[in-house]
Amino acid sequence: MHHELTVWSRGIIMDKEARDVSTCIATAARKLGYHAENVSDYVDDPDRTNCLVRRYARFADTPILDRFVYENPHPDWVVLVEETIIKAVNFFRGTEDGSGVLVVNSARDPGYLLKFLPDAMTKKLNKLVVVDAVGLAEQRGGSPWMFVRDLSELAFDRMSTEGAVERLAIGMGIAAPLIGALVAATGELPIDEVASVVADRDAMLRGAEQHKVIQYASA
Amino acid sequence: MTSVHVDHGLTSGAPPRLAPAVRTPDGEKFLNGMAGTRIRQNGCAAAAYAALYANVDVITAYPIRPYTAIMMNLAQFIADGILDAEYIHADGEHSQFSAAFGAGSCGARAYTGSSGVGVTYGYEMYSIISGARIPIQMAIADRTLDPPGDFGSEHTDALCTRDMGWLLGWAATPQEVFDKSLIAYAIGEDPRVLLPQMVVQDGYFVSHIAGEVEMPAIGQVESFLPPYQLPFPLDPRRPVSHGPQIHPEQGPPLQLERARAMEDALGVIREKTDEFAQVFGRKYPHFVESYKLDDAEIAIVISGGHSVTCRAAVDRLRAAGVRIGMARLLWIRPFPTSDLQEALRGVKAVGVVETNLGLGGASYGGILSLDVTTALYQMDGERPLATSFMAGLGGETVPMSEFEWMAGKLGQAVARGRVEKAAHWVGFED
Amino acid sequence: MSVRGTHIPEHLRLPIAGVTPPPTEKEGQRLFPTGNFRFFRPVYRDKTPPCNHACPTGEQIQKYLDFVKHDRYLDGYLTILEDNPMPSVTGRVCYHPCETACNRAAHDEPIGIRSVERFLGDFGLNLEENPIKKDLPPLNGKTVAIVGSGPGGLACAYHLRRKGYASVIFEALDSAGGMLRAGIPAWHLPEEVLDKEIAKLTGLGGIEIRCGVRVGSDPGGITLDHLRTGYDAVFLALGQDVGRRLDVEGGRSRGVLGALEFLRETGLGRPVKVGRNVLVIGGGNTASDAARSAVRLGGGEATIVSLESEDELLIVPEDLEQAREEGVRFRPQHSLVRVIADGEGNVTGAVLCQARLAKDENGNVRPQISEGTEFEVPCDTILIAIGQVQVLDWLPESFTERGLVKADEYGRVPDDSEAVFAGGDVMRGPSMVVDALGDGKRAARDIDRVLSAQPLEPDGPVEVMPYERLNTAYFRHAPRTPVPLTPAGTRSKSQKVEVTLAYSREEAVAEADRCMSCGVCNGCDNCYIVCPDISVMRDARENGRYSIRTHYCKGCLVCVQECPTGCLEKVPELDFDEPDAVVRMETAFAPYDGAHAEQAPFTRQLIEDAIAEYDRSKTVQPNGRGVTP
Repeated sequence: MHHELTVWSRGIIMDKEARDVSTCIATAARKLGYHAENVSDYVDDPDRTNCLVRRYARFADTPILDRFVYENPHPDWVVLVEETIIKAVNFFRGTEDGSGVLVVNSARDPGYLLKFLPDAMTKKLNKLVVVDAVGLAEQRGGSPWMFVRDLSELAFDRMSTEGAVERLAIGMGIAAPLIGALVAATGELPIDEVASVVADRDAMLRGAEQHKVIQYASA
Repeated sequence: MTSVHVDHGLTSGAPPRLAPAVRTPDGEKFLNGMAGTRIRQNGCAAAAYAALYANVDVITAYPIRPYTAIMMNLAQFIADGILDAEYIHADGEHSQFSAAFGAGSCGARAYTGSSGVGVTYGYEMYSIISGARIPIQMAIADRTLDPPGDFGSEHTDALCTRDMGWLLGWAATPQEVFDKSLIAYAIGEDPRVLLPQMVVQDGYFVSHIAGEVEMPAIGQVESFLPPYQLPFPLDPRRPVSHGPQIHPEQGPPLQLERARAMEDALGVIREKTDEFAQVFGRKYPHFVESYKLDDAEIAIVISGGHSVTCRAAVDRLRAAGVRIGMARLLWIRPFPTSDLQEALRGVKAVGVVETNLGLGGASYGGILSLDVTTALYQMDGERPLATSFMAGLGGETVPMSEFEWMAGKLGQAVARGRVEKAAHWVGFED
Repeated sequence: MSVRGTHIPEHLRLPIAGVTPPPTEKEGQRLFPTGNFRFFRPVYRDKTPPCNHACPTGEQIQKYLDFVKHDRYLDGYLTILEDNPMPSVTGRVCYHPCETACNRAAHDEPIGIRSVERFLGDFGLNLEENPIKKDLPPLNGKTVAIVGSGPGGLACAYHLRRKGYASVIFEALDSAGGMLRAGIPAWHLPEEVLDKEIAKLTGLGGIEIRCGVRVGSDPGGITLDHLRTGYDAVFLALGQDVGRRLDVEGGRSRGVLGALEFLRETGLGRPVKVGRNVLVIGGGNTASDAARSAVRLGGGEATIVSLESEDELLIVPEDLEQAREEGVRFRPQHSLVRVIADGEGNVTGAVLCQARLAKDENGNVRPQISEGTEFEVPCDTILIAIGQVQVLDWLPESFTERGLVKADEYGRVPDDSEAVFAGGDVMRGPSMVVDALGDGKRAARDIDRVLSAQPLEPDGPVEVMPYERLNTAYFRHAPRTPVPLTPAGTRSKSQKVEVTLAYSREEAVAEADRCMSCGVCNGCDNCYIVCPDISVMRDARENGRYSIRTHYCKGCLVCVQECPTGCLEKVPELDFDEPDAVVRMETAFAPYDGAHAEQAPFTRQLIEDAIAEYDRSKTVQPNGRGVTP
């Protein structure tokens, strides 16, 4: 068993969300006895606001030998923290046909989102999971989105972008429902175990229950 | 507030003695809580924790990726009241290293660091600091030198400084970063050495990927690394002059003295590495990690984080029947000539992995093989064939498949009795 | 030789030293089409400026101010003519709801829109040819009957003509213009200006004004049935020109006049006798106009007696101020109790009492008299300005309601023909010239729809730009250019001298330059300049000539932030589902393998050029020297 999770997000303003998703999945997998890694994507230059950034997690029941191959070569779990990324990049590069579980944070209709996928990418889909993570997240002030947080919080986040200390709780805001939807839709990790490492457990469970799935091929 | 305290009155005679550096109550509490725990952290955090345990007095910083996170962590320690140290944010690396130099000259345990072009921007200071015999420590997280703009790791930045009189060595994991930082201070501050140290980690691969790091008790650190005592600090109560202008005839002896210190460091490194193992229970090879070299026919010589992948590749190749081993260099300066000779004795072909750029050098490849081949040339008896592999430049990863390709080239050399060429560009040749 | 036998895969090949071509004006930087950074797209979407919204005719004020700013007066004039046929009239007499709504008031002072309009109107009036005439469509054979040649009727005829319809206007008075001539004093609106504006309209061809024809119930005259049967549609714009009478003791004495009748007679140039001590009863603009005309004609004094307090007076502020300067006196919160006349029936005085406007239990405003406060004042003329009505007994009962013509939201009168419309005062009660002009414009539009069998539709919703959404940092504070006035001493002696004078060209341009262009692109170039990524394209500094290069725009929204007018706004990128707007990248950093290599020819050419130049310089010439390029 071997899974590669690539979380796509946007530099600075939503980097924390992506990081939290990969951190929680890897931490939970490690707790469950798997060999697991979670790494940030250093090469994407994540200190550029809005740019596409990736965070990775991978876990397996055998040791991960090629540790420094930081770009997941065959991602089978893909999370888009921000919906527009669906038309921005080939996030299924290396994904086997019919194996990709795609989780999109969006309040839109799944059918509308599918309009943006070319056939070559649709072919890779195993499941399309659409979760309104913004709606399901615990509201912090006006909105759970990073890009409306105040500057000091963004500054903390920027520190983490540089690989320094994590200052805020891990698994808050929109990360929590995204983790929930991912874990529920993939079924590989027990929801309760993962929930135990997510700061906003309730929002994570809301995401695990409230999402739309379009099933393609069986894995 | 620096925690350098002088405990004697305004008189002359005996050299000033520094009081033991004082930890803050919060710092003590924090570190006591840490003792014995294993935490997941990346190399940057590990370096910062080591500086915290070493209770450094002065930190000088100027940001550049990827080492920035070390200084971010330290700034946070100070802000949280865990560390009582002077934190100087300089206007560039030259000033940054100068300030660390000044602090060290006054008897403070000084900590600094940089990456990539930051390392080269402060180049003037390296010889000055080692010539003045001020044992400050510098953390380097490697970064490719410009151009092009690239954040990835290449060892060239630190290797550029290799002949400047600093102790220089790579750590391959966050745990080793932590340990090596303490060991390096202990070696450099030893009165028989008194040399500055560069503790280097690969950018991203070590600096930004988390591993488990065991946190020691304060007592362990303090028994291994006693408070810093510079024999000749700058102090108005007992004035001395540092770095005077000299007559040419005084030049050679001074340089000879520095060369002696570097050579003497070889013994101190062995001593301190063993002592570290006693106190902390983690045993590192003195200079060369020999991995499955005993019956090896071919060997990879490597330094830094890619050794982690290399070890896995060796295992896989061994399983396929290839008699391969790995020699990892823990120190580049002083260069462990005899240890390396011993490690590679009996090997038929050696390939040096060059994660650096030595443009126009003897091998027309990298820097490291210049030292390695010199050491091999001086071997008694049968010398192995030697070539080098340009790999992992620009921060590109060196996957197992590339190590396997290298093994193939070394096998060919053994079979043909000669190497194809002095340096191979991995990924750009058949 | 270590590089012997090496080869670089095509897709990884970079030009020398990573040198890449510069971004071009046309294509920008092609190396990294960073459009996929963007999740909000800047979009140029003009909003409605509050001035435009407040104007009943919908004059595109921002647009013509911008033309004036750029010395494009003819374009400015033509812009006004799209909505309003008579800017020289409105530029003098309009009560300028536009200026009241102007966002600039929140900044410093509203723009002097009316004065710029007058400047453009007079510019147009002095043109030899009416510039719209050559572009008019041919007449389509349909003719509309219009009752009343006031602003509503004239505007309707004008806009109909622009759509190809002929019209016949029936005017009861001897000359055209309605209240413009018969209600507004010449010192506000000189007769020759009005004449020229009307001549300009009739000069378009297809507009006939029949003066001295009163449409009514007289069997020998023109009746509604004539209009309904003889014409394709009818527009009722007969205004309200009958003054409301005040039923007090002595109210029929000689010297008691309706203010409207007084103004009409004066306006038509007929002799009117007015005393030297005039009381004007009423608190609105008619009272003000009447008092000021009385001062001019009688050479004496005029006092406005109003139920309204000083603050409640319904006189536009500048008129009030001018009236005061001309010596008009005010006796607010008083009511006329009775008129005192001598034995011959001539007014000699009036009894006034204190009074005020108060709300009754239903919330309606009613006069409240203070009993026992009566006192006597001498006067020789009393002008009554307490409102106006119209005689509508010739219309079917179903057409009228409470003294007004009844109409639906389109101004359509309930008639089987479905082609009878109404507008102006006769439909809305006393209102502004510009309201009538707007009604005429809308009626023309809807008559056209009815006659061409299109459905009537309400105007779509508009988004009015509020001050708060402007980036006001870009608008330096600048005072309003004062409108020149004839000195009070001079003007108050003449019925002909214009009170308000025109802006000079410089003044008009300066005032137009104050416009903040609320919500409408004015080609300021800010977006073009501030874009850090050369992603704002434009070929001319004009509204509509800017575009966003979506392949490259990173969505930093600096342009939106720095757009002074707020015409740029952010829209979620995923709202746009056209496939080509964003280049899907293959990785986070590069668009596709080999993008660098594609750019290599550019760099190779640079090197080729350098070599060629070097070779040229080495060529030895007969004089023994190399050629220096």
